[in-house]
Amino acid sequence: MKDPNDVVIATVGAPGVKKAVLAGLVAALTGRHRIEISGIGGTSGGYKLTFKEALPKSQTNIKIPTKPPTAVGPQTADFTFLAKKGSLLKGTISAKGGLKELVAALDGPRARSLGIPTWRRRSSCRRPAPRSN
Amino acid sequence: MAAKIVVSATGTTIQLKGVPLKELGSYTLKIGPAMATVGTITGSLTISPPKAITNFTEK
Repeated sequence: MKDPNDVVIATVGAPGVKKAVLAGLVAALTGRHRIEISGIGGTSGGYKLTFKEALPKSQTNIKIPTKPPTAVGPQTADFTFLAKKGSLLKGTISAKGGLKELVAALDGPRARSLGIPTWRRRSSCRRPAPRSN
Repeated sequence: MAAKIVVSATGTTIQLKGVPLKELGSYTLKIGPAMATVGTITGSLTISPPKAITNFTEK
């Protein structure tokens, strides 16, 4: 297995061994990793590769801190995370205290169209009834 | 290069219901007051990577 700098970070296999297991390998760098598979001792044939990746919690879950409380206003509270292509972001953010209304904006990695968002607005603010003359 | 706003929403409770993150990279969710008010926020976010990337078998 090679890291994004093309440096070999793990290798496994031996003559006569049909099952090569890389387990608990921690990727130190973010980026594209490469797994290279080859026969040993001049042998060739088919193979089956099973890959499982466990992301760190910081890349799958963001809990907004309450101790101490996360303050908003006049400044924003910013939450930065890394995401893979094709990931989905879900969650709920609620205002407390004197906040009348929140604004959420998600910045992406590049200044290119990133698609139509799917979000639902809930607000306790109600429009006043129209005046009757 | 400047970041691109992917989504924006307003309300006392904002629900993100599966916003697609179409590129690999760093994202920043900014939560601020819509008016000149101050308070705190609660909540949590989940980022679900596609299964085809995190768990697959090739034969």
